[in-house]
Amino acid sequence: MYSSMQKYASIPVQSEVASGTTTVDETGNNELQDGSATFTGGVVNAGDVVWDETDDRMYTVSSVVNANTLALTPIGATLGTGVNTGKTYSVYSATVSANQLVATDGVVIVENASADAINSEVNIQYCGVSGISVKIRHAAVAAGNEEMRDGFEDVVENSLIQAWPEVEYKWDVPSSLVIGIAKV
Amino acid sequence: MEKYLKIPVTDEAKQIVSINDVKLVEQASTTTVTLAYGSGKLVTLTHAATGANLETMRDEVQNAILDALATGWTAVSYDYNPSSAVSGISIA
Repeated sequence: MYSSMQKYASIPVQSEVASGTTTVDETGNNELQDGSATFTGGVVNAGDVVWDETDDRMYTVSSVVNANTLALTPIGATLGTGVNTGKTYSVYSATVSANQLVATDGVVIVENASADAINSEVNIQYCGVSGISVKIRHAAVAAGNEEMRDGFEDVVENSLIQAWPEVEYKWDVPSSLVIGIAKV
Repeated sequence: MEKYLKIPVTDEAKQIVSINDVKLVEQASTTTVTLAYGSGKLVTLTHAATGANLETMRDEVQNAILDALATGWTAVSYDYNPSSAVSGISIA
């Protein structure tokens, strides 16, 4: 049994503003098209993060072309060229977020996921090999970039030196936008 | 130091749920919030439905955990009164 003073990092997780399945092949065009979507009216904005979940590629929105179409800029260690038809996607706001707590006590190791082709995942292993693992998914970054891992490691250290009753440590500005945190 | 959330459950008075070793709280669906423990156990709170993409109950549980852990050692349980009625608590 692992026992220590419990501490948490409070991490801003960007809000999902749109999701669906693409309906047109935009490969090579750096665009995403979904005939049933409504991206206009402030729903999606330039700078928002697009995740093509099917092919695991990420983009930022460079502009909203029309209600159904987004112009994209590829990001990450492996770059896409636009989203093919029939792909599941999500769009995350660059400006709206809600904070989620992640324990910083009992952490054994923090790793950039080596099998992640686009470099968008940090894995936190707790309490030995039988403990749980939590994945932080963030806007993809260049190959070899480990700023998010290093950032979370700093948060662990900073949170653990806080005296009781300071339980929460705010990670105000991660180096990449966090789009999801989940138990693996 | 053991700490618990004391949660009213429909037709069951109040049930306590340990917050020791909680590593992550997730809004798993519009009707469930999960507490993941370092040991691998998962406690699920089933509650009245909230809107899609709303994480109100997760945020409430998170805040209750923070508040509970900031109380002195003789305060073992912390009353958490959820905004959406909890109908069941289970562990897996």
